[in-house]
Amino acid sequence: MAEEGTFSYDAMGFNSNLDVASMAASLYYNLMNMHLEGRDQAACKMFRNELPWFISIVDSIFLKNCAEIEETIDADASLTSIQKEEIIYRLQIGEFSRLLLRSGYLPKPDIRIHYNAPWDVPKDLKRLHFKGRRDVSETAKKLLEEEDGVQ
Amino acid sequence: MEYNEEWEPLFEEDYKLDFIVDPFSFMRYRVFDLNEAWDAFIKGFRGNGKSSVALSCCLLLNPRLLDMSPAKALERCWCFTTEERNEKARQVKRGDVLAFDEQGTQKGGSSYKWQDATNQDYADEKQLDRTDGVINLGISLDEMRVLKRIRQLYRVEIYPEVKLSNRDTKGNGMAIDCIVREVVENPFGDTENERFKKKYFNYAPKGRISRVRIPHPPADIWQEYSRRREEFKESLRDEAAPMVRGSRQELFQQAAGF
Repeated sequence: MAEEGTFSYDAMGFNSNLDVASMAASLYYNLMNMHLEGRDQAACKMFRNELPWFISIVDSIFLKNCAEIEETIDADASLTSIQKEEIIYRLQIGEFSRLLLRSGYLPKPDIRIHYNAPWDVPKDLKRLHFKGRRDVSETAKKLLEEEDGVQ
Repeated sequence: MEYNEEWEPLFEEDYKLDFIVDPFSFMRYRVFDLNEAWDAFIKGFRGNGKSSVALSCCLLLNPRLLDMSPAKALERCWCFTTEERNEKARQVKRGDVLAFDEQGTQKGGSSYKWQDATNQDYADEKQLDRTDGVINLGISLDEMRVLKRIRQLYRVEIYPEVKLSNRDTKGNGMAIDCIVREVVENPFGDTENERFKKKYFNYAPKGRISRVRIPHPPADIWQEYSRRREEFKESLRDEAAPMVRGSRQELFQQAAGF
């Protein structure tokens, strides 16, 4: 929450002026096309260039995990710089996908809540049938008897 | 690699499944802690399990009922007629749940009898009882049978969808899968459909609670409920009998040329 003079404010939403979901979708299609054309290096560069556009949804988990990936892969002396870049890119794409999931742009599953009853739940209908039911035809019988009397 | 039929996401923490607040805890929080009015309307076909869902809802929302005898518990939380409801509404305390079964019958807030003084009292009282810390449950076949002033006050709608046997619940006893939706009001909407939207409860952004599995109420409480329902049915029959008799006599008289 930020303070400005005598009032304070916080962000509530972005009124859909910039649609992050469609931005992410177009990024995905562009990257896919580049890979299909065999331009993997260009795809790595493009992902890095496009990432700042998503800064409004970036969280600390994403930054921490991306930094960890870079550090771990960079420390591996057996890899060439091109290999390193490619592996980092592939792992960071996964992190980006997780970021979209956390922020609600990728689908989450519908769930079913099961309530655990603190009572003894009946297993079948045996104990549930109501025995004390009056004969339904009683009222009808009474009616007919009265009507007979009138006639 | 071991295979498991259960869904096990790789990064479960991303789904925020560990922060789930169930709809009933949510309702309790809004009513008892924030002093709001969150009443639920349970609707569905005949024999679909509306009443058993409502009984279980009463017990889940107010677990104190489980400490009482079935007769006392039902006396406290259940009613069939508008008069009974108005009387009990004066006795309930903060934290209680009051279920009004068979709404829309002649004696139970029927929309056909909207000018009836008892129904008007009921609607007035319900309009004013918004911060009394009591959750009201309404049960009916469909909402149009109920007074308009009443049906517009419900904020949660519950539809019992599938009855489940003990086998279906893997030995956890009988239960009913329900769709639970929140009625969200948009005061700026022009039409009725725009004004009231019925949305699923969410556990996280874009993560819906699509079904709620509600266990069957205890057998003794169900028996007590069945007894009361039978009594109510008999009372309706007894009331209808003189009317039927009257109309038959009129027919006899007409036929005889009086």
